[in-house]
Amino acid sequence: MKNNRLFQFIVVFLTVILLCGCWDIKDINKRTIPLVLGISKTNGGEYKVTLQIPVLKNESQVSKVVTGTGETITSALGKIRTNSENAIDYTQIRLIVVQNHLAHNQKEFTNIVKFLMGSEEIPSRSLMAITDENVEGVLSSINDKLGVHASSIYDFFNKGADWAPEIFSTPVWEVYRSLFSSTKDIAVPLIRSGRNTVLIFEGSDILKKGEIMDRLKPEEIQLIRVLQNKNEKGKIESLGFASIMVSNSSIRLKPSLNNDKPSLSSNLNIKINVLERNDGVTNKKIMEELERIIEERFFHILKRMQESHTDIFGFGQEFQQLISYNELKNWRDEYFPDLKVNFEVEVNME
Amino acid sequence: MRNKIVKELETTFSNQGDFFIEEELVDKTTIFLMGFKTLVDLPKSKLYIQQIEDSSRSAKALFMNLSNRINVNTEQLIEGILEGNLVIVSLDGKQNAVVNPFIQNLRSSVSEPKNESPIQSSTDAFGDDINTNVGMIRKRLTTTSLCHCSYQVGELEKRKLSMLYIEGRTPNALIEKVEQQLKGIKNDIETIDELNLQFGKRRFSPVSHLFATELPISAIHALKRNKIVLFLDNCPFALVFPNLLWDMLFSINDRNFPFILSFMLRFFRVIGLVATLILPALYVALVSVNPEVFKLDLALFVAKSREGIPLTAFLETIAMVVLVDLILEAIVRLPKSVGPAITMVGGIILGQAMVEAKLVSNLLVIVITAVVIASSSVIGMQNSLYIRLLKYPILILASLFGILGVCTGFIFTIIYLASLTSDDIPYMTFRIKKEGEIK
Amino acid sequence: MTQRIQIGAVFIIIHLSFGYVVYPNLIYMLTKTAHWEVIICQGLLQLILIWIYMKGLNYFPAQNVTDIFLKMGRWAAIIFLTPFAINLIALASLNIRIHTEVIISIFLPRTPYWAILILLFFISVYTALKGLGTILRSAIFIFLFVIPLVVLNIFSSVINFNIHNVTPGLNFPPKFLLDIKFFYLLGFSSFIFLGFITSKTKLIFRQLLAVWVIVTVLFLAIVYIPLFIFGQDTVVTLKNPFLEAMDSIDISWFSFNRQAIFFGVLLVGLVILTNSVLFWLIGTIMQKIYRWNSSNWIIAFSFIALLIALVVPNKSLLEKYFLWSSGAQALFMIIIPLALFIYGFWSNGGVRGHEKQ
Repeated sequence: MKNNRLFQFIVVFLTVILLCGCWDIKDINKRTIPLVLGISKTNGGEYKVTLQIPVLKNESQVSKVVTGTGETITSALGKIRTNSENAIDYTQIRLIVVQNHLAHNQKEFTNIVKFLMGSEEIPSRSLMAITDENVEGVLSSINDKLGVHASSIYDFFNKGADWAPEIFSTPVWEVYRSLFSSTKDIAVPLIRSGRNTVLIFEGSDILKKGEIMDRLKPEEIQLIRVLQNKNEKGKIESLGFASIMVSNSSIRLKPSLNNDKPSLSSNLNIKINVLERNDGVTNKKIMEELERIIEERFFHILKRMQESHTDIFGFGQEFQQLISYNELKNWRDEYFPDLKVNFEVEVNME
Repeated sequence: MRNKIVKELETTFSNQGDFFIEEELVDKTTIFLMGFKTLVDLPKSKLYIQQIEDSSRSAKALFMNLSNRINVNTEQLIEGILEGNLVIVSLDGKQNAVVNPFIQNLRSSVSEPKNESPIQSSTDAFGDDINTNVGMIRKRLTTTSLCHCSYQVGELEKRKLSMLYIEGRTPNALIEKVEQQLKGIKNDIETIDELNLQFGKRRFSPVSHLFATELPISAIHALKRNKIVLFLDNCPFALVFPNLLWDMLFSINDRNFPFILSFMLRFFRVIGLVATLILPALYVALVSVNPEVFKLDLALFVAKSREGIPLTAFLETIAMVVLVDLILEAIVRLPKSVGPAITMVGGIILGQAMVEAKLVSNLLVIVITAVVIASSSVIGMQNSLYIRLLKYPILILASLFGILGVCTGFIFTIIYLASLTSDDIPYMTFRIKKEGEIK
Repeated sequence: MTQRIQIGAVFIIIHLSFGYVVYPNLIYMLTKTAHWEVIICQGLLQLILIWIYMKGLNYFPAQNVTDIFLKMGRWAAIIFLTPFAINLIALASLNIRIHTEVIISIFLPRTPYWAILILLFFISVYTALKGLGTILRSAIFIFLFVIPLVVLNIFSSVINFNIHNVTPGLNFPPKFLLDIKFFYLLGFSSFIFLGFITSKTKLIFRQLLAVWVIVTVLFLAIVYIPLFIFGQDTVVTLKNPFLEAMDSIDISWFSFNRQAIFFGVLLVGLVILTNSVLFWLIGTIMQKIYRWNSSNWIIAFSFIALLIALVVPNKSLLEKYFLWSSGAQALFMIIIPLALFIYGFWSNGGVRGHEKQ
């Protein structure tokens, strides 16, 4: 008897379960999968959203570009969804390109980042980039190029550090983190469409709490990567009389605090390979020249950063032990401008 | 009337249903013939003894003539009986002999197993005759603690049923319960499932209480692992009670290989089991509900492979799964000479035509093939059937809830299997405790 | 021995289930630096309570908590255990609802929550109806299925770590001990169920200690993974820090895109088992006190729990109620062990007689 009742119970529940469900079901080939999301603003003050969508059937065309406008990004995305032939699935978006006039507005940019982070569909892993050109132009330029895939724009950022050390890929969650961080600012890559290749990397914008403070060139960006202890292999440097390749790098930072004045001693070790050199150039000369160049470059950036109170190196993180949590909130304005950095470069031959 | 030795032998073998004691009048004295019915061909042996008797002058001479193992102690007599010999004891018990008898014709009816194909092991399989089957066990397990109980059950026909267990190993509580359940059988036992239902209601469960095996080695291993083995008359299987989950994954034949190899075999069976359960469901879940799980390149590839296919992922999957199960069933039904034809036609239709006609995606064909292969990797046809059944609920849940459905379906299956018990022994237990062993 | 391993697995599963969702948020609210201090303090407090509980239970061999309270008197059982069972209903329903919200945001953003709620409820009630044996046995398998995922999550998140995001330091004096939230936090470590399964197996404190160490390490991992990835300042702005941390992981060679999927899968396993244990507890308590079939109690109370879970309107209210419920749970976690200990001490005249015989 009891067993029978249990059985009825199971049957009832199974029917209930079978009756519910069916909201998320849509076959993958009935979904449109955009890869790149471009955000800009029209002259009328509305948001304009551009999507780059791969085309699967057609051989001659790899992707199409769809745009929509709305008062908010959500409404613009919703409009595209309404007008699209298929259901649009935003979960595969890998790159988000923001137009510069939006990016230069701190409030707008902060809102965009917060929206992207809060959105359940758009993954927070997707990378961010800023462009000075028209977003639509950048996204549609892919169709004129030969031998590219629909995912080429994303692949551009995903070559891997060993292949293209200058490219600084910044995911949404890191930008979001920098909105709240008091000790570390972030660099967002700057791109434009190329003539033969899909994209050209132009450098990075430095953001402090969502506000663009400065713009760095690719070789400067590379130095910042080194200082953030990201291994730099394969970088080729031209010294005029010789060109070398960095084969390994490591950095040691040692913070100290004297009379509330922070100072940092840092040792950068670089191993290099000499690729080509003019006649009569000794190893010693190459090493000295490289040391000089890197130090000069570093102090140049540091000076600019200290003037704009922007800690792109994340030096403040090193002082977590020395300065209390609440004090550290004022790192950028109170401590960082007075920071003394004792920067030493040591170059070794492989 | 009976002397000490005979009584001692009788008590030793009191648990054995096939033990016999026959009295025979020889030269005006009585002698006792003892042995196992399942091993000794009694009428022929009697005839033999009478022939020898005619040529010998006294009873003592008869014993001398019959064998050269005469007047041995009781232990050796017991051993002799267990080895399948005929033991003769004189009336006063002073004389005895262990005689090589006419043995039951065990070997000739022994054939190769039909449902299993063991590698690197004995290829004997059980036959139809219950005595032969018990004899095969006795031949391989010569110990006094192997107990044998015979029953005659059924209403219309009295069907012979034998229960074997090792005394001192199999828990007494279990033996008593099974004995009661066997004695309580009222209706006819025609199939294995009718016997299965006697061990408690599991009408809607695909998992049987009994594990059927054709191989004497696995039956003996089961006995040694404190289980009970049942034989049904005219049924060429040893029915091992209780059936455990691990019987599906671990076979004693694996251990003919070095440990690491047998571990590999068992690991592959586990993979096969899990793959059968979740692979079709995972396909539906990933393709139609949660495609965001795929990496970008993979997602585009899958989308491309499904381009232009009119059926939804769930429909195509369920159609293919059913079709494959139909083929498997059809191969069994057909005579051996036609079977390969179906396989070929099925292979061509499923593999080529459906993909080329863009009715199903070629990815699905790969998935289905993997499932068919995986489902056959577990031990026992019946186990393979039931895991093939269990994949359907998971598939349906997956089509509604995607990966969440796969995951809840899988967990539900685990919970369901964990809830099964046969006579208080859980289906998912690793081993049955020895009698008297504490936790 | 087997059963002790099973109990250990259930212990870890329940703790993880409570630990993954609201627990980190609570810790981030309690302190800004030295989060480990809070976790260790909470763990030690829990350990002391478990010790008292074990001592109390050891006065009465082969009896579970309900038996002991009934021995004290029926009134005691009703006064102590009925509110406990009622709170368990609230805890179960809110727990499952909170998990449902997370699961929805991982797997099925368009599916309404009630559909998933019913699915999860059905499975956990089914398990509870099948009894303790089934729960313990399936716990081992769910454990084997969940732990690799937990480990995978921890190790795959390492690629996003930045150790400098965390301020190590020490908080002295530990002001958080007086915070009401710390009391709520205590409710997340539910060990009370241990007392209800002791009639069959005697628990050994040393083995529980080993399990406790595992749980504490896992709690540290749960709290510190989002911290290492985002840092304290960012973490407090996120609704579900652990989920976001998992979502931020991008392993390029791995053919699956979202690490969060694995997190979702393990949450499903955890919540089903945890809730079945809670329902089973309700069933056994009510059956012994009011002598009505335990499966009837389970079905009736789980239905009430389902209704509660369905009517909670939004997430902020949900979390508030959940905290209240876990606060009540914490209260029971202090009262029941102490009551057992005192009663045991008193009734045995201060001698631990039973054990020595």
